[in-house]
Amino acid sequence: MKLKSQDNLVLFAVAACAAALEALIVSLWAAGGPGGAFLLGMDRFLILSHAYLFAACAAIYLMGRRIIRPIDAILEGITLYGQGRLTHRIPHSKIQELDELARNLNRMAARLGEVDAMKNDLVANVSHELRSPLSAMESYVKLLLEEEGFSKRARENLRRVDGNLVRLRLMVEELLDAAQIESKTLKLETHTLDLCRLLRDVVSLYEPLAAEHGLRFELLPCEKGLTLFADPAKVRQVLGNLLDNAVKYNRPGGSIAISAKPEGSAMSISVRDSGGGIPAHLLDSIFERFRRLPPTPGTAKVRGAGLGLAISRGLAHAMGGTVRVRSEEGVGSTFELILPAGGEP
Amino acid sequence: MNAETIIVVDDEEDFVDILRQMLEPAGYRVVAAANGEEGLAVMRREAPSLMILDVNMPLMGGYEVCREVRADPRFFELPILMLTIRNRDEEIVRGLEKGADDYLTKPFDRQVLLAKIRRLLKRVR
Repeated sequence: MKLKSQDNLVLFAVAACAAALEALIVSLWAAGGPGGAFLLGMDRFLILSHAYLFAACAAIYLMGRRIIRPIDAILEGITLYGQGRLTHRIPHSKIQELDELARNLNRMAARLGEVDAMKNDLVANVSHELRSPLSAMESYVKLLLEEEGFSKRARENLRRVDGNLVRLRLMVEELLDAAQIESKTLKLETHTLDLCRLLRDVVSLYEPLAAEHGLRFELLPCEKGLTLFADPAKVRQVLGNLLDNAVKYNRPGGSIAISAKPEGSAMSISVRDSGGGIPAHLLDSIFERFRRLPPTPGTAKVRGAGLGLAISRGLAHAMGGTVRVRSEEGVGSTFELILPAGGEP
Repeated sequence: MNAETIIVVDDEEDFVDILRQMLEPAGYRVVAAANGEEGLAVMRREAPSLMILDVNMPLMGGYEVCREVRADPRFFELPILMLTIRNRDEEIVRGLEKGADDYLTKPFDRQVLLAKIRRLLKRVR
């Protein structure tokens, strides 16, 4: 076991105090013992020096505790800042140097928080402003595609422009989602939802996409009466993202299975694919922003900005749940969306 | 044939133009306004059969226009098709609560737009 400096200090102080106390008792006994009718200078010196020693040890212990406590608080603060929890504030200390250190660290965290908020605002504003012209361009290209009289080549080129505009718009929407989740300005409308019905809806929406890629798509039997307490649009967004990935990273002729089961006071919705799986050393990083694994060759194109899983997990967290992953190379991956269960349907 | 008039209220010129290109070939007459106040004035002058209204406009926004239209005894039954940018549930819910009859998100498909308009016009007739 690793002892913290606070524990070491306690051990040292207790041992030193005990030693001093013992010496004090021994010298007192010696002074009162044989030939102790009158206190010799030496005895007096011994008693006094041991009393001082005892007092000094106690003082060291108390002072040490006063220094180590604020250092512990600073250490805890730095750890939290490292985890990105920038709203934490380190408590003030009575020791001037440590107090200054704490205040400076607090100022640094506040400043980092401001910069982070500015970045989120910037991304949110820019993507918001980009959406409108992109939508207009998409509409114009679709109007052009309805016209007759284009050569086959021109029509194909227009279709490619259209495809790229759609991709660009999806990326911009992802960026906006991510910025809103991070700045916690996301608005949720949570209700009690019928889980099986929601899954059937999602499955009917994604069946054509799976079929288009030659994938088998099944909804495993769903126990009646299961409920969620969540925002329906956001749950669909997360499941849509997980299913998109299950299509994108599957093997040709593979399968996707979706299932739901209760887990304590929560519900677990699993999306299992039969793709190549994710190497163990990458499992943690796939939830990071802009992280993207290469899709299986010959399957769907990569779309979006590589924010899908980061957004999914962010949305799940905002609703009081999370997204987990298990994967086995060569067998496939299972993504699990955990959300709070609802009350009576 | 007497063409039905549709008023488009949107501060973005491009979308007014896109809607014109989608609606006029289908036989509708399109009048446009670039902001809420102008929209209400044009509506009172032209007495259109339907309003296409953008939610996000500076000055007088779409919700406020909705409320004004519903408060006018001549137009309280005017069908309003609301335009939002992207599926934002809170925008859609708020628009429907303020009196819009239906909504579309930008960018929209011409066929969906025309189908919604036909349905809304049939309902008032």
